[in-house]
Amino acid sequence: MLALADRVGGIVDHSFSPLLLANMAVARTSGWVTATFAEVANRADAILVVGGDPGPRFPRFRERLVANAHPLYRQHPPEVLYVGPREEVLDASCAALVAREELLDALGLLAMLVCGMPAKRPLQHPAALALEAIAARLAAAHYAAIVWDVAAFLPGEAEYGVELISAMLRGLNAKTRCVGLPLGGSGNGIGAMQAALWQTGWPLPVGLTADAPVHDPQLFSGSRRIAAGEADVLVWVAALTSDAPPPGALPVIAIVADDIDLPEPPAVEIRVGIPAIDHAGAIFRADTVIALPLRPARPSARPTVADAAKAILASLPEAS
Amino acid sequence: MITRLTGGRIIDPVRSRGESPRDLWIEDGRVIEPPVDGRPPDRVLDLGDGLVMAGAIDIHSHIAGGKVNLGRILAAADHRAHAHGRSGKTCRSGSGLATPSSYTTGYRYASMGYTAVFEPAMVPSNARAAHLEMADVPIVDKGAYVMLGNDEYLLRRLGGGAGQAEINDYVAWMMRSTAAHAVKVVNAGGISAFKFGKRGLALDEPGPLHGVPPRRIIATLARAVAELGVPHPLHVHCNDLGVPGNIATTLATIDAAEGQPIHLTHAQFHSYGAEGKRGFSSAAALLAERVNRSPNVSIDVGQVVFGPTMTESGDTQAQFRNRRFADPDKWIMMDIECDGGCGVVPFRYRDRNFVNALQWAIGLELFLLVEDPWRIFLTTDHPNGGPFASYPQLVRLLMSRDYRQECLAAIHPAARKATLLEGLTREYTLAEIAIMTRAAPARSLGLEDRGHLQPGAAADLAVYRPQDDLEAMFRAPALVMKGGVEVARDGAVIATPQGTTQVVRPEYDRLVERRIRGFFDDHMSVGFETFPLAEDELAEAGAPLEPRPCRTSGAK
Repeated sequence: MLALADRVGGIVDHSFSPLLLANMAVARTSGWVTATFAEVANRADAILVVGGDPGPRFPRFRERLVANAHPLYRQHPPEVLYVGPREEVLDASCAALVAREELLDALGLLAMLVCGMPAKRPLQHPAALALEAIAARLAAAHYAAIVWDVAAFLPGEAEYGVELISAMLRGLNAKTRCVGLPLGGSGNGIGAMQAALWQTGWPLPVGLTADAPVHDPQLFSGSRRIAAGEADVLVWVAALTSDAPPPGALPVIAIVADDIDLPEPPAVEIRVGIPAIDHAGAIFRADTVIALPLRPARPSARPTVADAAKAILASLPEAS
Repeated sequence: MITRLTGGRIIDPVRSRGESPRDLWIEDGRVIEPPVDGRPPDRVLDLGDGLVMAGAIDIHSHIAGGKVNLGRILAAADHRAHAHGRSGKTCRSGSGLATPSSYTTGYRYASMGYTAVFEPAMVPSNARAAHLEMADVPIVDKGAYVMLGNDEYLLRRLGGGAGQAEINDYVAWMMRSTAAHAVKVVNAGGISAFKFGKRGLALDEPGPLHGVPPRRIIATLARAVAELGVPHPLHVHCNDLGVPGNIATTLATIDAAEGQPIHLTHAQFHSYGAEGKRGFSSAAALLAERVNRSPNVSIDVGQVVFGPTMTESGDTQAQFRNRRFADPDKWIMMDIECDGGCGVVPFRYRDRNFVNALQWAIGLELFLLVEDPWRIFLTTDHPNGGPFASYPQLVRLLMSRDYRQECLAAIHPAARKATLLEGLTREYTLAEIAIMTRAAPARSLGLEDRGHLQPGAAADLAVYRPQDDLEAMFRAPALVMKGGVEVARDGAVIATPQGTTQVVRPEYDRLVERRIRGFFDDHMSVGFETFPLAEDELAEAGAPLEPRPCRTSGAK
């Protein structure tokens, strides 16, 4: 799809990219310290969960990273710490419960405590005691992990929240070890980001203009373009997810899996197979390092999305 | 189809040291003997008085894998400043100089006469992703070195008393599982120690938990690579990278190999003394002297180039130390999957900074003091010392003493005084450049049909237009062919065939898999069956495998 967009001067975005962009923005401007699943599962002796219970969106989080049976390095199950809304109480040994609207305030105070910045005592915050205890436990841990899901922040607050986490990670690693683990990546959004980064040099959304690839989260936002009708045509690809194209005024070329109902007939409809059912592929995990192979579950003559893109490319008039 | 190249002066040091005017005949992507049956060529290309060399081979360049994407994330300015749109019939758009996008990487290498590039730091768990990315590097052949020596399985088996044979089997299993061409060790034991909070690990210091000292890791892996018959020796990124006085560790690392073949990579970063009032000095002469009398040792330089770049390394201890020099001030560290790590730190080498200037001089001292061009390779440890696009300038520095003196005059005065460079008169010949950038890397990597232009060789070649400006000559060869296809003319890419993935697949005793499987089942986050790349995966990704045989002589 990137090749096709490059040929016709298109914009490429992924429907999950808004959930990845806050993390991406902080990584780009400040950097951070992260780890992959196996490091957290085998090593973390304290896990701070920020913003809410990961369970509903990531049902295997606890089983795989907290309650795994044979950790290599930690002697006991990790201590779970929590900063987040009181309506999502986790089974945590130490919890700073706040209203969701107050999450940034609490994180800001925690970051100050963790980084050893001077604060006026006694601390004027309803969760001060819990936050101080969490800061002390992060500092005392041999290898702590901070886990968050951008979706847990209020709209517009995620980037600042992740920035505070990044500050904590940089501060804590000066003396001990602490790693971040941003959750996310549904619909292979991470894989789309990775491929865009290596093929164009930029994360999504990317505009493949005549002069250069350009990254601009506002200008090239796919959802905004669709809503505003700011494109000549929408090429809607859904093979891993089962989403129909959003309603809008743009003519649609739908490259979608067999099982997707299209409420409105698109201008062009191309049915494709589903990765891991009809054909092979690879999908990236949330920790960005590991690509898992997808192997077909049945013989299938269905084309892949790549087949469709290549066929469209081949039928375009010769590039000049 | 038969192509005949006429008029060129061929520099093919495998055959002779000088230039030889001879025609080159090409059929089906290979150099052939001139047909004796009088068959006329289908086409004739007149090379004028062009200098013809085999396609160049980069033995150590970070072109793919998770760390490069992290570098791209941190390198917005680089990607804004160096961007290009789609061009011609086949060239994709792209961006970046220090961390170029994948297509741009292939185009730029090919336009400079390079036809094969080796990614030296593939973390085992990142192998599938790294290969998917490399499949999008067009034109050049690729290969990758799998990073071992900080992987929990190896460390615990060494700590648990495993014998050499078991380690050999594990290394072979790992090479096959990750489609690797060679084995690299980065800061042996140090990346693992960093995860336990240790900020350094001396060569004889027992590592955390398993108590295995780096020296033993290096010795065992060097022997494993040799006994398996893997053509390229163990590729070693020594401990204590960048630390003043690290020459002691570097020389001791050569000892650790116990006479086995060993390749020391980016040796410039490991040739530091701690003398002088600034506590930082050149120890290049010590390393060069040692290399000169140790036929089992080869090095690549990791030359520093002044300007902004990105440093990307598996060596989290070194990168974490260097974070305070980040320019701009941002950095990313990552602990990876109980088998590796990476640290990415933007950096700017400044000619008026004493340390940077001396680093630049140390690299050049190594080039000029190591006598045998078959055992020293031209690298900048792209992008850690500087972008690979600066190779033409480096060649000029090696071939022209006048130019070197001119550059030397511009660096920090104290660094100028602290280097031997002023008195080094050596100028590389074209034949020596052809050895160090073609014939020698091909031999070291076991690529028997690369690096020369004898009949049977791949028709990978570059034709340079002789001119006084050596940098211009090497930046934009008049013609580059890959597998007999014209891929670039005068620095512009005109065709983008797909290269192959070079792999070495040693045999091993399958019994070793039983224990590895148990380890994956108990501790790892991917399954034992999921971890290895399947045979057809790379071909489907567009980079078919080209397996190279193991050496049989000297093997167990």
